[in-house]
Amino acid sequence: MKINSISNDFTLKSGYLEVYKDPHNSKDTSVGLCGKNNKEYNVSFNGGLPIQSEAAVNAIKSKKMKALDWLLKFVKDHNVSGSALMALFLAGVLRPLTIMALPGKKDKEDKIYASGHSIASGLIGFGVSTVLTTPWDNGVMSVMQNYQKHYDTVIKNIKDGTNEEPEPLKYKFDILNKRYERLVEIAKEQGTKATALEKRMLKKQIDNMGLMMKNITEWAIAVPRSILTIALIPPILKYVFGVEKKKSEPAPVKKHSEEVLNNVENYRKMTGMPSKDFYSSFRFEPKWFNQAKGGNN
Amino acid sequence: MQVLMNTVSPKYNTYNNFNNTNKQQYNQQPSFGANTDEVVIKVVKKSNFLKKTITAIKSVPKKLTQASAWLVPKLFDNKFMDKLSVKLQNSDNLFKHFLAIGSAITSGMYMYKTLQNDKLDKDRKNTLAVNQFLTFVLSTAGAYAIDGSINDWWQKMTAKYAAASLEDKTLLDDFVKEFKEAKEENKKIKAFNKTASAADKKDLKSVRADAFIKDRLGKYLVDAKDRSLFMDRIKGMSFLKSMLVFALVYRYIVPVAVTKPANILCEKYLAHKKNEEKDDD
Repeated sequence: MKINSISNDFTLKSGYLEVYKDPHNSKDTSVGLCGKNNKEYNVSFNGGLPIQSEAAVNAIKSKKMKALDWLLKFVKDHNVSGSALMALFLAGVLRPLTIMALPGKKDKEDKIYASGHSIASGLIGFGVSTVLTTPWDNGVMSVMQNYQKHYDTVIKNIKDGTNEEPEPLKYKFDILNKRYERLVEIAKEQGTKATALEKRMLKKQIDNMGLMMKNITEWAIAVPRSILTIALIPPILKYVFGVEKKKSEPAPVKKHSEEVLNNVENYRKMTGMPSKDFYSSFRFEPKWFNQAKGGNN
Repeated sequence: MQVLMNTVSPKYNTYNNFNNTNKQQYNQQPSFGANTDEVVIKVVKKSNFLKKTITAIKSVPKKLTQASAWLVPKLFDNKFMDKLSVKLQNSDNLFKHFLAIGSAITSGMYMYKTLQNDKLDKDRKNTLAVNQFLTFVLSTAGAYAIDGSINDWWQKMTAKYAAASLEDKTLLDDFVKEFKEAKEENKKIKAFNKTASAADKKDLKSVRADAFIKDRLGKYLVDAKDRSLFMDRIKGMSFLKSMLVFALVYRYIVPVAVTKPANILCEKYLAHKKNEEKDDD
């Protein structure tokens, strides 16, 4: 008789039975400061997290300020959209509230129109800024993070004596590379006050480069965004908020009177006569025209 | 006789089934002889237009990011950027300058449009354009002043946020204490530097919350990734301050409180000018 025994039952030796049901469970989602990044945090089965203080673990689990955490990361990563988001809050919430609360001669419809205008401009500004700058911001971050990750590993290898494979550099960016290469050299040297200062300055230069590359889009989109805002406000007000600007009453007679007055005045200038003499010569008072009101009646 | 004893636990079987399902999904060949209907359904499903369109739309942001990442070094890997980053290495206000220049471009465009407006007479056009320019200059100066004046308070807010996130109140207390001491010491250093020679001049003490938090973060977060993520948020606090201040000035204070009085002044000036012209005649 032949007996084939399958005895490699490793599940019995592990306390973490659940993880074997689905290999995706091996990625812990309960740790880390940000939900998105948690998924990349592999936990060893025997020990869980590395040694951390109790406060740190609490902090990692803390979700109290989730919205603020998100906002801070967003404004750091997307400067132009972040500014537009602040503008949306102020022009879309605070300003309409103030307009509606302010006592004034304006009637309610005017106030509603002004509020709608403010909300629409905030919305368009945020929408246009986000659509136009987000891919660019992500592109800049992708380059900067690639270099940072690569050289962080290189520097870590030097400091800790490890031999980790750094992430390959995907982009050729000489002026950035030059700064990181210098940082690597500094890491090899013995730290002095001068090298510490140089290191700080190099990091600041790198940060500023990222900031400049991201924010230059604000200048590029400023004009098209304004044009789009001006063009889109009336349809948004009409179709989204259902308000339209009251057409001011035309005053054709007044316009016509102004035209006549201008012609008379031009003629007077041509003759070179003083104002008093000129008008009194044919018993004409320009203010008569200004008193004229209304249409053709 | 051959007996197969299965001593594998049900847990292992579940894992195995999961693997097999995956393998089947990718390795199974369509059997044309067996059930042609199934094959047809599969092909139809695979060539689903909507599915393809959605996939294509979903891939747009990624492609745009890749294109931008490709373009970034092409545009900025030059000597100008190299020198500019060195020149601006000591600037803490770079982001504010970008906001101000962005606003200058927008204001400039509105001024240009006012000057090009055929419906307005020349006097009105010029006065309105000057009005817009002065409003921009004063509001920008105001924004810088407000931003500077709330800086100390904002540093404390940053420390407060860090203390709340890391659930350690002593962090805030320590910062307030250290901040106060550094401020007092900086006063003394400034007084000393006024009389000291260039070589003896001392550096001012840092009163920035981000540097304070960065120094102590290792105590709370062991993983470098967590620390970097947390520092991103702390840096975000300083961006948030400038964004809020500049938006408050440009999008709230100016339209609500400045534009109306400025327009009234503009009207008064035009009326006054008209009267003067008449009197001259």
